[in-house]
Amino acid sequence: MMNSLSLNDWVLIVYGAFLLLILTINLLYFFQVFQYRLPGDASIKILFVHLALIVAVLIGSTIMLGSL
Amino acid sequence: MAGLIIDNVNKDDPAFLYLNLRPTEEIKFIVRHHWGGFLGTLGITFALGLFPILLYYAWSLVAGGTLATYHLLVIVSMSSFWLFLLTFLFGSWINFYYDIIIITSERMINIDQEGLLARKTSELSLAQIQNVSAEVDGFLHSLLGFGLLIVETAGEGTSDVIHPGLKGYFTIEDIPDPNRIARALLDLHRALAVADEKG
Repeated sequence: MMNSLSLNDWVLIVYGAFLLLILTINLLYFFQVFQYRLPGDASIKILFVHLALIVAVLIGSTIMLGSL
Repeated sequence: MAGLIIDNVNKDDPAFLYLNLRPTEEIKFIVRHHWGGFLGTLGITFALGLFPILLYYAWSLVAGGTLATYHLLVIVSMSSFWLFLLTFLFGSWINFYYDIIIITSERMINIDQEGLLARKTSELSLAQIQNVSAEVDGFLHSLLGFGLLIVETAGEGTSDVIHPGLKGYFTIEDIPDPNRIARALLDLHRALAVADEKG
């Protein structure tokens, strides 16, 4: 039991670090979109769709982890 | 082709300040790559996104009840994989969508997005154009109307492909209606030549 808990803790720590990395990369991409977008293009719409998908995965996984 | 070839551009918009347009220079077209060129990346990413779900069901059929022990690992792995895929897809889309060709009355500016925070801009004077050709090759390209635009120049090009007898080469893939763009480039080249002769 002790080993299993310890493994879960490590899994969550690695997951947290991965989330930090992924969110940092996304932040740089968002910066890039606002830097290079042209007036009237589809950048902001696609950015919102991407954000919605990211948030859906994060919320879904958090709910599932919470229910364990 | 709406939205892919924009021909009514306000050149005084702050977004175009970095182009350093001359007072008499006008932006004739802004050309983006056709979305058909992104379908392959989209399809592969979608298929990869389905893969963990299929794997989970296959594993649950084989392993049965023992799978419950690894629930946390499964959820974290799936979530990480999908976040990675979404980030990869968005990055690929940025690389694709922000590759832009701006054709002014005097120049062709090829903006090449090369990953995160990397951009390459190459410029070609329309007076240097020697020949322009368009290639629409394949079922999908013919159906959706996009293809390859090849601009041969008297100066330096951007293409790595060596073509004997030519000094410079601009090859741009996934261009919507490449025949129209080729014709427009030649018309602008001729207009420049006529203006030059008149002095």
